[in-house]
Amino acid sequence: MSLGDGLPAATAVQPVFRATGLSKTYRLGEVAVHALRGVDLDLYRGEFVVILGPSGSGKSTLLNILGGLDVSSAGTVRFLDHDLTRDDDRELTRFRREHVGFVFQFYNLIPSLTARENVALVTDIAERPMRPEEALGLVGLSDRLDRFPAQLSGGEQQRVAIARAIAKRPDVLLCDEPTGALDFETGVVVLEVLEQANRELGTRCSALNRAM
Amino acid sequence: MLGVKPGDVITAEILEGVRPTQPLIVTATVDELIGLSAYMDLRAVNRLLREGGTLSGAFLSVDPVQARELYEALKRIPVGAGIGSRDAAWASFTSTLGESLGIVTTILVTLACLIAIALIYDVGRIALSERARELASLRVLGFTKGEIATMLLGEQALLTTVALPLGFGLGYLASALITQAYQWGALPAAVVSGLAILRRLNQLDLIAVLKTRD
Repeated sequence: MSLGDGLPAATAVQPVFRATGLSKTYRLGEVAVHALRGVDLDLYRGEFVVILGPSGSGKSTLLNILGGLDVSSAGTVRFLDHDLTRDDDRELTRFRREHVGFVFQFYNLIPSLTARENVALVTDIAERPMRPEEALGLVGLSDRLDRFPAQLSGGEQQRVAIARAIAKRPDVLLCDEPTGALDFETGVVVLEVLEQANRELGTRCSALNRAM
Repeated sequence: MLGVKPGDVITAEILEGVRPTQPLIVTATVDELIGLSAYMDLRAVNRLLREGGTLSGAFLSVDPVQARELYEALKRIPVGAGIGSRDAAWASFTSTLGESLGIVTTILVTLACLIAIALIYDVGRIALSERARELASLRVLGFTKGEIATMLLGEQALLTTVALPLGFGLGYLASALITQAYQWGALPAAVVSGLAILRRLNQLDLIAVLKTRD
């Protein structure tokens, strides 16, 4: 596992995420699989971090733990002053709801809702969201507001997913293989949108992973 | 049952003593709801059976106020074989009938509840499996378990609410009385099914749903 594109750590600044000795072990029957083994990681404000590694190296597991979707087997994760490893399911849900924007490889849009409604799902439960139209405008989909996911291309669906993730003005944006299901050109467009969102919205930091 | 009409001659066999047979003329037929009886003039019976002045039974119209005294008097009769009261017989008949009706209703309602549970649970499971990915995605976005449970179960509750009066109507057409009991049985059944689905919802796998695409 390697970290790229990160800014040099300013020692005086408190990291947004600080993971220490993070381990994750899955049990597959009798065999214990180590997805993560002693990962130390600091992510700082304004950083745009890409996590690279071969398939199966634990990139997704790391993002899932940072995003409060999964819990680690050992080690600690701090979000600002908050210890995520102490949280129960209810608190992790609240953490995701208030602070984290997710983008996934397979978009995970709700097929029965339009682009606008998919974004509205999140803005309805967020504290200081932007309007769904505004978020979709930021990703260049102002003319696709009332399309259903099935009527959109893969790249467009992923941009809806990004709009959904940034509409609540999250503190962190976590993207798990956001271009994994897209062709190269579309992937570039999506990454540009992500980079722009990170710059313009003052998202504390973004981490995305990419198979190598 | 014998297919006779007034004026026909039947042969009666007396099932006592030497068992003599005797031809008898039918004077009239009667319809009875319970039992099979033949009626004959008392003196003719006594003559036929060669018994003299014997009574094998009597129907009495009793003033309820004096019923107790009557029973006392009847008990003192030396050769009275037994007495029976029509009211007592009627009471025991209705209570037996009521009991068996109650048992049947209980069984039917229990079955109806089981079927309703199975059906509603099944519908819920199907709805859940069709939308597990969707619901898990919502959980990822920060929806609480309670919120997605409200979505799914609210839908189920709405369906049940709409279906109940429809079921009432259909059931009423099919059978006015018993079916109503079926329908009310569906209410607790819906609740039980809902709880079972709730348990499933709490076990949604958030990670697995992100890894596969259906």
